[in-house]
Amino acid sequence: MHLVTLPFPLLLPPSTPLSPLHPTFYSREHCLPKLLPVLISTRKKRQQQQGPPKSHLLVPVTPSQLADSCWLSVSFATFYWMAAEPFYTVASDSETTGEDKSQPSFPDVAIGIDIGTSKCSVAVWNGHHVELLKNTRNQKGMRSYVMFKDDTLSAGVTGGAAKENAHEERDVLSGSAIFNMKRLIGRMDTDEVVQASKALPFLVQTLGIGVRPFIAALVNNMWRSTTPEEVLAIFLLELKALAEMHLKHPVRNAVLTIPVAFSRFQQTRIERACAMAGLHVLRLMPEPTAVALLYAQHQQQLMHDNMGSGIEKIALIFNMGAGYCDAAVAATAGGVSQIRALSGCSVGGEDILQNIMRHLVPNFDSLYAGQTMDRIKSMGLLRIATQDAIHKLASQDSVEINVDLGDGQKVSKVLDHSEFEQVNRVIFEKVEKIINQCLADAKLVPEDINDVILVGGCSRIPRIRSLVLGLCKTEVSYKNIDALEAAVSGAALEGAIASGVTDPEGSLDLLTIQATPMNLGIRADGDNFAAIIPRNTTVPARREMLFMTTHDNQTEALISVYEGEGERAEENHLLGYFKITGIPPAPKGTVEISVCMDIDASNVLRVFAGVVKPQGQGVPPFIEVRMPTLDDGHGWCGQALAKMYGSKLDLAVHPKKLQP
Amino acid sequence: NLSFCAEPAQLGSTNAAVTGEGALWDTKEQDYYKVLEVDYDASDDTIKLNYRRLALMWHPDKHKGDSDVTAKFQEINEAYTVLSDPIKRLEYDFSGCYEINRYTLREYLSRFKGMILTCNGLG
Repeated sequence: MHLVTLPFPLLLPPSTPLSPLHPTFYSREHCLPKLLPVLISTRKKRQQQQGPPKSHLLVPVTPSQLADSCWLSVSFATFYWMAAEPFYTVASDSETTGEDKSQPSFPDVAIGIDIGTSKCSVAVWNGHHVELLKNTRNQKGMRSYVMFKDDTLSAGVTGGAAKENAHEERDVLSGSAIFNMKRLIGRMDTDEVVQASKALPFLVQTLGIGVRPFIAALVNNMWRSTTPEEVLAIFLLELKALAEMHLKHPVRNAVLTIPVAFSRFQQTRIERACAMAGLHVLRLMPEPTAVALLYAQHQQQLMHDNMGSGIEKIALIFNMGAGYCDAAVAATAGGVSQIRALSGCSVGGEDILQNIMRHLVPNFDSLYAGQTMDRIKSMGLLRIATQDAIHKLASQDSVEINVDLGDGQKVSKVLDHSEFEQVNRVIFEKVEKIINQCLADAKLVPEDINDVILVGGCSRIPRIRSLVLGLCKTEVSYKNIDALEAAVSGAALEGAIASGVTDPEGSLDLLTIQATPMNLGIRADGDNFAAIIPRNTTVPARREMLFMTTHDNQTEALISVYEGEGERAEENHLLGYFKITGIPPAPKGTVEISVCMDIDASNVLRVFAGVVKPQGQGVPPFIEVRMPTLDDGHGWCGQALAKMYGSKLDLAVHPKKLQP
Repeated sequence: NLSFCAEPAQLGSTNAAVTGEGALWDTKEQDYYKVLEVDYDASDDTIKLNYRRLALMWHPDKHKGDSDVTAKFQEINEAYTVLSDPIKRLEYDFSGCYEINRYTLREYLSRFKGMILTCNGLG
């Protein structure tokens, strides 16, 4: 919402043509006149104040121009703003006076976006109900990818737009398109998900040292580098343009759904991609909680008479897409859905697909080790055939796979359910673990569950359905929810609610009370992890914990903030670190240090820390740090700190807080 | 049920003194029953119902993220976390403080196994 979100394009590497630092940026200045309407649209809108939004405020751009012209509009805005005298101010209403706020010239409702690993969708509250938007090809679920061609970029929202240019699946798999951004974003090259992504047709190069992987798309027989954030931003730009075309007014705010397993670091990458696309993130919602909100709305409509009578329904929501698998337990009554427990992991349809591909072609890894043109093509054929077979297996007992991979390599095989299940046994075990953990965390037994909601593409796989339903000791899943549209619909509902929209008919008198998916804490007692806000704590939340010094006359203490499930600090994600200095010299264990963690409604984490004993003028002021503070390369920060300081700046958990 | 600690916890009072900033660090001991606007002998259902009512009223989503409202709702959450859990509530009633969430799950289960079994379905 603030102007400060705009400078992100400057952070693009200067080597990319999208960066204002790149030479080609200046040569494109002729683009400026046609870009101006984009820049002034908000301003004009503010001047008009009243009346319906004018459709001519939107810039007509051809699909091929779309990606990069929109890019430039963001970049230019940044540019002019960075120069002391703004050419055009892209100010937002929220920063202006109260009268502006009370009478927006268009309903400033946040849109809901579900960025799936495989497919994306966008929905909006249209005043009466949630509406899913369709692209020019009449699709609600749009394939998530960005195609790189010469100087043009086009994302899966338009899919190449015109019929003759329409991208086929084989084009997407030709190496020229980047997809599965959600699996790559915010991950280091030591991550096993990144390692698995090397089996994708585009280039994923790793050094295995805990830095960002190198990814590139094939353009004119050359690998051109990019980043997952950039790719996602380009995609979001097209999605934003689609929404603006439908709504006929500029879109600024969005609610996005994310996997439960996303770390806070990954969340900042999503926010950055949104900022690059000119979208302000109002909320990032774990996918199953968006479904829970939709469920709460259903229940409210169904039992309108019983409202407030305390009839509570417990739902277990299981979501499995191409990249991630999540579960949530939500208690719902009177339109309020309270998230009791969340669990998730990065296992999805992509893993199932790769398992089957490796099963069909036993020498898969050696065969596709070098990414030559014919190898990429051959792998594309195998992917399409495998994908097709998995889809068919959802409704058939067995499926025949016949594919010529070239170079004398042929696959001819009949795959049945038992073989499919055997090959993917590990995945089903992980699903089982997720469900059991979620039930245990919610302190519930399967009999307590009223409804089991299955969503996501993989919920169509018979084995997944029977597994989840079996664990919940039920025969049938909840019927009134569309498996592929539920998450985005919930996000659009949250968008309307968090934007302050009210509905006279009461269909927005809803609320999701979120919980934290992972423990948040600091390193203490040597290399242990002390959770200050345990997972599944209702948010917004504020918790504090007391620590003490571990050395005599210790004047400094290092606060390393972690997120995760491991008992040892290093098993978790490092979010950031800072030092408390100027601690008054005293025997060890006598200085007490308080660390407080605060999560607000937008899920922003702040850490406060300082000396609480002794007191007086001799102690340093408290420190407030917004987390995460780390940028790339956090893979080895923890090790570097340990090497540099050892246990010199360590703290221990204060025993007083352990004895009730 | 009626006995709760009137004495402020040491932690809260020291913090208020250190920062001297009421809004940020005002952690003077709260009476969770008052926060949730329920009687001391309120049933679990009443507590749950009142929590939902207050959530609809005070959740930041309903106030466009006002920070004072966030602090208020954090307090409501904290109170509900304690009073909605039979064991934490009992402990709070006796001592005025609760530390259950400092235990690991295993400790928690082994210590309160019998109680959890009897209370299941209530919380």
